[in-house]
Amino acid sequence: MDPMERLIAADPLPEGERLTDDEQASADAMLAWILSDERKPARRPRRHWALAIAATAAAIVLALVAIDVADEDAPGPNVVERAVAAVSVENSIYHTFEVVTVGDLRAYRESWFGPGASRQKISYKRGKLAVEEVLRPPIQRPGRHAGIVFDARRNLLQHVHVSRGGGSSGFPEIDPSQDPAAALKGLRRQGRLRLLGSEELDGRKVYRLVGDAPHRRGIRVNRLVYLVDAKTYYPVRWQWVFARHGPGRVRAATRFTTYERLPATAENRKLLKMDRHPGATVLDRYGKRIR
Amino acid sequence: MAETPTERFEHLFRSTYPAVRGYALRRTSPDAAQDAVAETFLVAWRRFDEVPEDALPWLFGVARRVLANQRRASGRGEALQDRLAGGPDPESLEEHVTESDLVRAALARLPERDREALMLVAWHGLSGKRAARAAGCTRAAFDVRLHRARRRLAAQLEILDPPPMAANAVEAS
Repeated sequence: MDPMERLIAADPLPEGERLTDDEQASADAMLAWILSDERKPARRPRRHWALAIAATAAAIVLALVAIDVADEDAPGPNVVERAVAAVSVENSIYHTFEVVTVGDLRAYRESWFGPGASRQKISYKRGKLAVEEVLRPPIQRPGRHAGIVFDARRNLLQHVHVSRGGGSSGFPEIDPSQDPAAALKGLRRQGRLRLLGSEELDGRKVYRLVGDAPHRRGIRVNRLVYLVDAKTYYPVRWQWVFARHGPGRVRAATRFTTYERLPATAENRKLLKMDRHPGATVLDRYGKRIR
Repeated sequence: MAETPTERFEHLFRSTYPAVRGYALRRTSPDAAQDAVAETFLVAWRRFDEVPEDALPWLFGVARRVLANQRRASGRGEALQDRLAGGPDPESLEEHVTESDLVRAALARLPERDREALMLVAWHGLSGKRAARAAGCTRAAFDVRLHRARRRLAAQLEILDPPPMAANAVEAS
């Protein structure tokens, strides 16, 4: 047989390029996400792609997962220190693309975490496709914090209060919708972040750091698993594992397809501002229309 | 009524997404493919004014560069070869290896330019003119590249899958 005919027959997608319902839904989510982007290439840094995701709106804005971390020996302090330092450079804006999984819900998320504010654009599908943009201050202290949420489906901007509890037993509380830096710094401060070893992931070496919740009646409830790139020490993945019975199941996972640091220049600080949403209805935090 | 840019882009996306996704899936892992497709269409959206009427070769060209950047970023220059080879070691092909495995293993042994030329024509069904645009070269250069690539593929297939007579000769010697 002619080599070209043999090559045609060896096509790894013999079914062609038809999309299943799930794949079509994924395509719809991607399209909505792209169209939510303002076409201003000169004002934005280049984005490596992946898409963004997140959980439900509640998960995005409010889902705060408390991780209480146990006192354990901490071998490999250099790795821990470097991992924390890599995400904690001052006067920086950290730009990420994440794929977030909570249960069977998958969402794409792009985030900018900077001094004084963070901005996230989220695309997910749960029944209906939704694209959201969330602007808020970094939430490092317990209490209520002001934020703004944009719902692209309804072209609605709403001022909101984002609450955060104090965490139990004085252990740091971890918010999966936020930059890992705050949680890691809290864990490091308490000496509760430890190196478990290294492994290969997607062709690169990563370090596995973990923090365990205190044992309650001899049962470990929660574990944070944090993988960092062995060269850059930037996060590659983090997971919350529910470990009440047996080895545990993943409750939520965030995979970083891009994690990069930008200087907090005046130009880059614009990335921390909400996109313009012409014609959007604006509600105050009590749901009253103000524009 | 004239379509808005958003409507035109949506039309472009819906008509080309399956092909662009297929392009990426044939060259990298499903997760990386999804990322590459998203980035490709984001580039198209941001540079929508530059997208030609026959958009598919242009999109393939963007996807090719996105995938190359991905491989550089992840330090996995051999990812495509791994994907194409699909696991079996060409040096120790055994009976359970299918004809498709063997052909893809032969393809994986070719230089990247040769592979790209062959895949654009054989798997994506592009004409020489459109494939040249996707590959970012002139039609004449592409024809030469494709001709050489075919010859090299045939040579690799000969090595991996010798005709029965030649195989017998090797065994007898």
